[in-house]
Amino acid sequence: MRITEHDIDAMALGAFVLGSGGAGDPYLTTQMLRNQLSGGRHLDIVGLDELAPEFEVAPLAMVGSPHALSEKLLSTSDIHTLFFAEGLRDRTPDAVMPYELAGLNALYPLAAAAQLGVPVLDADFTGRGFSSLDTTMLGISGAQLAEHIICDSRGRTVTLRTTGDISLESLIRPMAETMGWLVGLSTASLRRDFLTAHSLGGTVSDCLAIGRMFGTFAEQTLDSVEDTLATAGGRLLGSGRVVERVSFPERLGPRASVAIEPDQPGAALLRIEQRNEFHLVVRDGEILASVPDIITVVDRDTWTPLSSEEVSAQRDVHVIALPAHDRWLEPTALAAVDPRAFGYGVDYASISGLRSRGKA
Amino acid sequence: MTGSIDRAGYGAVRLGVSTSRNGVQAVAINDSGNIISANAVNRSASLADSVATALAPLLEQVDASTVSSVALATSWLEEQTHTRSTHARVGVLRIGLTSTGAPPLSGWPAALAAQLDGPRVIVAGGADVDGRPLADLDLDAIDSFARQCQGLVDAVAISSVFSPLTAEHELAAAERLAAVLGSVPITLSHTVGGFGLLERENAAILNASLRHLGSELVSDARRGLDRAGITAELYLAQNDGTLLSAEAAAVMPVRVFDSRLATAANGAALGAGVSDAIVIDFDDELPRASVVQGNSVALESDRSSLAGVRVIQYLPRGFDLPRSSNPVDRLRQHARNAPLLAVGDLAGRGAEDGPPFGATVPEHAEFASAIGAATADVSASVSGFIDSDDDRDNLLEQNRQRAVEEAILAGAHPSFTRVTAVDETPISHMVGEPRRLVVIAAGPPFSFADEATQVHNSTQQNNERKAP
Repeated sequence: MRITEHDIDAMALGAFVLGSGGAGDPYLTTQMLRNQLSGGRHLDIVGLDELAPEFEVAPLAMVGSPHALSEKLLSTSDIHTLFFAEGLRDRTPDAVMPYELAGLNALYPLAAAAQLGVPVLDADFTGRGFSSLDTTMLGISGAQLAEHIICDSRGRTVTLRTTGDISLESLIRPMAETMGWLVGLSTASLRRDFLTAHSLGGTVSDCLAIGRMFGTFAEQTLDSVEDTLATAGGRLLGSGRVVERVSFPERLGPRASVAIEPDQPGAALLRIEQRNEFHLVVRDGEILASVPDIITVVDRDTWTPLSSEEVSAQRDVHVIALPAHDRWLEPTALAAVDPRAFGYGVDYASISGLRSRGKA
Repeated sequence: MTGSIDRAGYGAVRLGVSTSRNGVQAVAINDSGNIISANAVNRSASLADSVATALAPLLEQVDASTVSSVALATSWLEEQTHTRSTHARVGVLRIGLTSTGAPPLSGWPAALAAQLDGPRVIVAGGADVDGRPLADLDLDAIDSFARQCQGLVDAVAISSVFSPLTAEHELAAAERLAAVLGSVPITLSHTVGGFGLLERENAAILNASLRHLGSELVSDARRGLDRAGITAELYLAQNDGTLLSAEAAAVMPVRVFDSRLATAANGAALGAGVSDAIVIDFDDELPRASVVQGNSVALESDRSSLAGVRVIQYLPRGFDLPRSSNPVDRLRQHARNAPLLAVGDLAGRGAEDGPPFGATVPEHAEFASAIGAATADVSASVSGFIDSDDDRDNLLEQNRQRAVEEAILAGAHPSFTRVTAVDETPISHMVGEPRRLVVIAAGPPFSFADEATQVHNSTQQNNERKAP
């Protein structure tokens, strides 16, 4: 598969949706990618099954705060530092892959690949946005890598070699803080067998497909949006106005409860529980959607996804859920990312099959 | 108007003037909030003539010496960018090598970017998230940029990483450039907007490109007032519907790019005596709709765009309305039980079955934008940042004070300026509950006329609202 300039907007839209309210606004990385692909250039996306056994792949991600990113932006030199990773790699990798395919972290590796002139692997380790570096396919299967490199926008690097079971999140986050709340992250190069076992395949293409689908919603009737979503196993859970947002601070970002009033007077409120990402959608005590499924809140007029910070009082929104990658629903994985793992007293419930239109 | 404008109490007479592509409307509003005179004329080629002609009949009923302020709402700058190739050549200096992945003008419409056509560089410097320098400012690179610009550019925009925290490098670079470029106008990004380098820089570049037009706009408007025999202070309506002194507007044209949508919305609600409304403005060929919530026009809260460029500026949440379709249902979502108002000089005309979309035409609909301008407060906002280690109360107080000072600098009356909104946004993925802070302050236009004896009353409100 190839990605050209014309696919960037759809890719960004898909990335925003998969962020589930978090993972950062992909706008900036969209611009980076656009600069790289202008003038008819393209980017190759290769599937896991196309990888030669000796092929080496470098995962890439940004870790930090959107506040730092919004000012420091992203540098082209970080990409070189992470890719060549002096002292960490024996040889130059053949491809890059997204570490977390969501928000800006979906498009950053694509822009990097385009800059470096290498293909992107059609796979990642999360298939959606999660705030913690431990909630990845690697983290939940005990396959966390032993070698990492982080690099800040001043060219400073840290190379980590770890043994045993250490939370990557607990290691990296304080370093990111020390390094100005924004670092690029890569790991030792990875090969086909490892990636086949521990990555989620096809997620880059899925992201593009989701973006293309959402791109049509503003021109569709609500009924046809519901039908389109259903083809992807998704649901429109409700539409209305945010009437209340109650936030309370927590260590890594504010936890918030949002109440959405549907159009019909007297109809039950739709409630969203969130922290960085949207975790639960509840109506009348019934869980309509829950993490790890992908919950997206979009602007009611434009169908543009909103970050969890942007869902504030007086906003008119639709609430949508899409199914998570199947691998997240396997028992070990689910235990790490179900509502209980995020501090809610309820079990995971798959996306409610009720036709929601007219109810909220 | 009979008492429906509840904003009275100070000064003598406030004049409001609004210009659209086709027409000019002027109103005089007395200190009880009543319209004592109104007039509309067709636009002529010269803005000064248009303003003078529109005001002339008013001054038969109003003694020019009792006029305390004049507020002009205009889409003149927006029009110029369509009708003339008027953007100046702009040199862009960005400070902060952390940002090379998205160089200046990333995401701009190609045609507009091509018009600006000046040198663009990114040099070392800027601040980190804690305000400490990212690197020393690269003065040699700045000198070399200055030489590149010499004789080539009409204006310069300077942006720097985290300049809302510390503007030191922007100021130092400006000084360095001025030494080479002399009187070439320079826009510093920290004077234009809050956090978000790319968006703030975009606004600074737009502003720089509009500087010569801004001066032209203000001097034309002033000439119109002179011709009409009015010596009162001139204010320009900002994009968000509040006012800015003419002097400040001349150097900050991006803020007064297109204010008519906001003033028309505010004036319509005032005319109808409602606090919430959906307002459709029929002044130009393409009707535009906006929403009034709690007495003022609803503003875009996050991402907004000006001239097709992504910025963070206070712009009305507006919609273009093709006449053929019926988009009112969509607008209904924004103000469910609020009336739908049609204003502008075409509001009551041209439709055999009354106003389009079944809208109500409020009193003085034709003059809504002029009324909105005449009755607006002057306002200014400041951005701040509160970290976990900071003394929150103290910082908040400092920012409130800064906002009031900025509003007074923008032309608000020192005696009556107060903080009108405080917005704190928690920042995710950072330890310790840091917050971005926006504080808005506002007050009635300063006027020498009401200094002596007038007592300001009803516009002074202490109930703060949340910023958009």
